[in-house]
Amino acid sequence: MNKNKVSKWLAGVLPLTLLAGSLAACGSGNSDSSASPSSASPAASSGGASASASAPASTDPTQLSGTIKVWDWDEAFDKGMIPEFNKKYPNVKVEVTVVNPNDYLQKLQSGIASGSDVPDVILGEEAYRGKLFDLDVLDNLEQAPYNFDRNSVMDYTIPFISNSKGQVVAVDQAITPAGFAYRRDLAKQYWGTDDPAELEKLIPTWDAFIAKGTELKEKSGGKVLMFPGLGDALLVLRNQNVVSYVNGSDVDLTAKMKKPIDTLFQMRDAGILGKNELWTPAWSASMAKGEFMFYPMAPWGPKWHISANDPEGKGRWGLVKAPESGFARGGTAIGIYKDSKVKEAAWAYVNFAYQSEEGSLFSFKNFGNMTSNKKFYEDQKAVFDAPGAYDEFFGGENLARYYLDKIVPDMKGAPQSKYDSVVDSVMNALYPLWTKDASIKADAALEKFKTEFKNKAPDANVK
Amino acid sequence: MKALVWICLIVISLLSLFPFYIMIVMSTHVTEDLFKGIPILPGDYLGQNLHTVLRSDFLRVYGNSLTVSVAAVAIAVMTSTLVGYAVAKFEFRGRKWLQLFVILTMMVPTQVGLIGYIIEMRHLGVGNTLWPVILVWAAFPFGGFFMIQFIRDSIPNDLLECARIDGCSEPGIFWRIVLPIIKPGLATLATLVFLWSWNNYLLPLVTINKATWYTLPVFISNLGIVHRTDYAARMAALTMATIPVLLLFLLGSRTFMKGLTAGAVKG
Repeated sequence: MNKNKVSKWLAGVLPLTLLAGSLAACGSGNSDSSASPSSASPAASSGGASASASAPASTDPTQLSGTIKVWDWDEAFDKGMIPEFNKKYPNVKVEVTVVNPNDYLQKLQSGIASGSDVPDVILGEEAYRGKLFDLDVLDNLEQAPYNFDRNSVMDYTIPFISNSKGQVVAVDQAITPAGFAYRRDLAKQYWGTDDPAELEKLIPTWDAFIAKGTELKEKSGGKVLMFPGLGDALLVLRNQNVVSYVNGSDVDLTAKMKKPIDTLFQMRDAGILGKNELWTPAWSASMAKGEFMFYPMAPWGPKWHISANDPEGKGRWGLVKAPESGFARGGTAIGIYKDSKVKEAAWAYVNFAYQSEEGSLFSFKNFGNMTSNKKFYEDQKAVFDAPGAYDEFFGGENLARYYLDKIVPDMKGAPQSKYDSVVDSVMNALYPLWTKDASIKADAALEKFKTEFKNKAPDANVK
Repeated sequence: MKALVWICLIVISLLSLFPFYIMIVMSTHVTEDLFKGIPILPGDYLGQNLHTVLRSDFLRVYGNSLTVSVAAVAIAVMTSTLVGYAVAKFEFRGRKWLQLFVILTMMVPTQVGLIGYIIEMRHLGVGNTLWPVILVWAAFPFGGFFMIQFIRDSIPNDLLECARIDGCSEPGIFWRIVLPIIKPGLATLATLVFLWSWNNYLLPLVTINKATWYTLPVFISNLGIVHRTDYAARMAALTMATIPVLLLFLLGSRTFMKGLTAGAVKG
């Protein structure tokens, strides 16, 4: 082949190679986007009513009109809620666009940057809530026309709905206090009791938890362990460690992660954790198999997490609080776009769906969502005393009451930051390595954590 | 020896077809069962998965994707062929620069121009419709480059000269002589553009904000996303989304292969 021919040949092959490359890239992009939507798993719902939670400026709901745009991933929720809303606000039209939570922020940012479509009602899921607040695109809800009263919601939820300036820019879709779902059959078999009150006494602290875990491992001959993997344990420990670790671009990772990592490594070295990664097929399947005692679970968990993965498991699950304190798992914040043309109508919907008495009641009965509105729990006490949809699945335990009475009181709210999602992604990248390589020690793990964090957030001063 | 070749071919074919088979089988199971191991035999949940897919406007989304892909093919093939013919077969000032420009634009990642493109579409008044996803193919650098190479290699200049001497008009030459000769190239480009626009995810994701105008990839990624991912339903939707592309490839494979190899070896 002469030089000329070679160059022509190259000219033919090169574009095909480029094409193949880009096709492959398209493919992986797709699969990424669909990989773990549920891992984001926020909680649903919300609620609460109460006069103090601010009504839209217009006193007559029928006078309020307009079309509002909502981007949501939970179409079923909106499909159920909108007709209820329209009974009270017949002239407000709600248009819902289904957006995958994994793509939400990218789509929103493209819309804002290009000045094109941006929804009036914006959802911030746990994974990117801090980043969303930091974009400064949500209106301060304590100002007109919203006049939201922060005292109307549970105190511990305020940090979850506030931006770094301390302004309340969202309401909670639902509260997400979490405890542990546990296998009643295994608890009875190895610890002699499946009563939540008794179990609480067995694991009041993490030290006691590790001791019971070691005992469980020995009694079961290593067949039953405490958690399915390091990821489950770490998410509990991290979310329990509520500290204000971000100040501008100063990020105190030692304060945030040292204690969780130390405890995690104690558990790992005691051999009481499985080797599953969160949201993997094996992890999901483990629920039905009965290989692990505990799974961290918030109120959205009975439906979407436990019963979905163990459909035959009716009666063999229970709910108990975690050692030392409650923790938040998941959670979605609902805000209003600051340049929205229909702020009043948008707030009417948000307030109705997530804070009003009617909306909260509908939401709890149909979706199991628990509002953050305090007054709702006083006015609707009977609703929570009555059996809930998944109580039977959990051996007749009143789940809502347990969450409200045992877990919520010692909940603490974590201030939101754009670095939360970085911590999250570093954590998800590293714990599988710690699972595989037992030679890594806690101190080295923390240092690695800091290095990885710096790589992903070069603007931060990490200590 | 021949048997060995056959065995190799059969093994490779099976390996290539296995993922498709698994995709189809997975669409017949409950999502949770998929996690218990790779399912080899079909399950009995296909009806329910189809119901999940179809109850959420799958047919309309399918129609959107078809519209986009067919329009994309028409528009991309037309502009690319015209560009290719002009640059490959006409001498004019700036021809080399034009060719260089086409190659340069190929090297710019789509994401870089994304925001600008959305703003452009908004000013054209076609935001939130299917147009942005179609019009992006009107200036398709790879298509232009491909056709320049293809036409340069497959149309002898003498042939065009003969046609001119015989009195054929320039448009006549293009329609009657050039197009029939480059059919394999057209088929190749058409197949690739169809595939590409059928699978396009990013652009529809950021330009379309109305569920009515969603295309298949965006729709499928939105199936069953609340707390629990309905993989089985997604597999059912993927199966239905893949079949037309497979058919298209099978039908056009002969010309497609010819197009891919054309120009690779020159006699």
